[in-house]
Amino acid sequence: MSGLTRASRGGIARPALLPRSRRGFTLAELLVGLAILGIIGSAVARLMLDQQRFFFRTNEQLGVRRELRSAASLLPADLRSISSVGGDLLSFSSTQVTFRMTYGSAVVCATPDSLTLDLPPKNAVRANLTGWVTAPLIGDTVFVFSTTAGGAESWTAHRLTAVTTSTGLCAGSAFIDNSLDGGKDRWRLSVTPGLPSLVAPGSVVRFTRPTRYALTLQASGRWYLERAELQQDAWTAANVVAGPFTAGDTLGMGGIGFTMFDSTGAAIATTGNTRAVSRIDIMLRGAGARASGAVAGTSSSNDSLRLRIALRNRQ
Amino acid sequence: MNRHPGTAPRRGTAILIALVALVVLAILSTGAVMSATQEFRAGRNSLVEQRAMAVAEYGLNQQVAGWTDPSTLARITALTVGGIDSSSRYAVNGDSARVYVTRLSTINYLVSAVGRAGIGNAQLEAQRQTQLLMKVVAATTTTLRPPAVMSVNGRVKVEGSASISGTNSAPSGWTDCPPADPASTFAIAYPAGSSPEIQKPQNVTGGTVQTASAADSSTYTVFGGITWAALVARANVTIAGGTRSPSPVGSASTCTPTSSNWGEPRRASGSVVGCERYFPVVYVTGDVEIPSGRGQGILLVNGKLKVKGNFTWVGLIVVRQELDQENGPFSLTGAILNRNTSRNETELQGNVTLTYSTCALDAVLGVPPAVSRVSQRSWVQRF
Repeated sequence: MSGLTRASRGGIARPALLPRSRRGFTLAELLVGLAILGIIGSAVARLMLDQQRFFFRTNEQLGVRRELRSAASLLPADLRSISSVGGDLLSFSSTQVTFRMTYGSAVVCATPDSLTLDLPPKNAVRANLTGWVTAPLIGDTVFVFSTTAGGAESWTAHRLTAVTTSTGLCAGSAFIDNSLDGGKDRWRLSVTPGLPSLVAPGSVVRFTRPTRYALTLQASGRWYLERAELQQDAWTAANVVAGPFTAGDTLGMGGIGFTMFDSTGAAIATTGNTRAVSRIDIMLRGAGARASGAVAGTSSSNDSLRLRIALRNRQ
Repeated sequence: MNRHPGTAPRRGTAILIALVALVVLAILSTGAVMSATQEFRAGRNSLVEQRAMAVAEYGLNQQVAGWTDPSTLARITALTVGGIDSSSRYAVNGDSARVYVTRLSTINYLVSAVGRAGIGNAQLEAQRQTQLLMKVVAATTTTLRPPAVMSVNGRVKVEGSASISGTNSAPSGWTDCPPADPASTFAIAYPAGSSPEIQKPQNVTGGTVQTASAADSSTYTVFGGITWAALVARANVTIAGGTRSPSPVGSASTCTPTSSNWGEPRRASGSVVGCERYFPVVYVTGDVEIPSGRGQGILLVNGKLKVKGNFTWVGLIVVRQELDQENGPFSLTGAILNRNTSRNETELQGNVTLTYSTCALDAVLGVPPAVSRVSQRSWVQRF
């Protein structure tokens, strides 16, 4: 009966002793335990930090490639169809290019007068002769094709002064199915200056609008690719379409580098003959938007992509 | 509550920490996997779009390239204004392009190609449409009626069994010639003071004629309205002199333009059918020797021509300097114009057959339809 007190046995009362089963840790045990816990904890923490870094780095790389891909899909689609020989390349430098973007095409189905062109509906049944990726606006430039009797070709430029629709246009035209396309809106373009007399049903129309891509420094201190259009004689606010990229420079070694070449492969200076441009090379160098390597570090993950665009309308 | 000694509650946090760590790691890993998956999908979509664009351009180019075939071009030019030909489809690596040709005017055609790509997955399909504005200038014909089957600015010596006929005849096996022009011609035309020397006159049909045109340089430089320079400019084959043995290259349906492919003059079994409609202008920049071979079209020799063996030609031969023939057989159906600027004797020895043929001359001098893109803004991407 180790639990009995002396008082119960007739002696002096004294506090009960702690049960012997409540064993404590010795200092050595405690130190060893702390050391083991420390090792395991630091390993787990390191693993988590590494995993976090990997996640951020991977995410950043994916982001950089996504932005490169965005630029790589946008730029060729707009640049490929410009007519350098037709003067569509308005200006360029290592970090910007300004050009007339061809955003639509159509075939004339009637010419009521020298200032008016009628076009088939966009959703014609038999042949989709009218189409654009953005609606024509007043102030845009249309190029109209005509051929002389001797075979001489010309594209004449005209400014759009009005765009209207009506279901009654192009009646009896060979380019419209008068029964299946009945009731569909046809397009009427008013233009200035007047059309050449040779423009007739069957003439082809190209819709163009000045557009600019430029690598610009944003308030955030990072460089982004911006796109702007000249609408109704005023440049729209530039929209960021891809980025960030590494800083721009005048040598084309920065985030985006535009280089123009003629048909012989010789580079064309920014002050050179833009009508001779046959090929556009674009170097894209994306910069990671987030730090990586260390969560709060300053290093970034970069990647690059090189595009070579052969102009389709260079002759 | 009594507890057995040594079973005191263990209130450590190791398992909790481990669980939290596992959850965090799982979240991060899942995030990385999801990001990678999204990246993969975005990359795949981009690839499909690029393939759609590529196959659309492939269809466009294939269509236009096919217009070199006269039958295909005839089908296209048979369209009325506003008419549409949608019979062409092209496939490559599982992607496809459908091509529409719309006739816009007497000479202009709009070629539209819609490319579809999906890498075998319909849910991934991407489409791209490109257009090309083409022009087709109609064929023109040129009529050349030389003064004789062989016109020479100088002396001619015909020896042995050489046969020269001014009788208008269709080339052997040619079934698409119009009825023979009754206006046959002389066998040999020569200038004043250069009477031909013929060993067997009975082998020369149509006789000989002395004519000033044989001494006129324009006889050898202007051919029914087409000049020597114009022919040189449109030469299909331009080669240096030397020894040449031409032979058609192709199959029953194709003809491969090479420097040694001078067309197929035969219309019989064993001929290269694909080259029967190929009438090249062959321009030789210097002296040439031909030990064997065959061809059709226009042969322009800016030097001497020496035929040394079995050589068959249908069409026109124009030689700037002298013409010589050894051995044989040398067969020509059409006409020869020998300017003979060196004023040497033209000598035909034995196994030679020269036959006049307006059918052959018309066939080779006709300018085929010219197909080309219009200038400056012919190409456009619709979507």
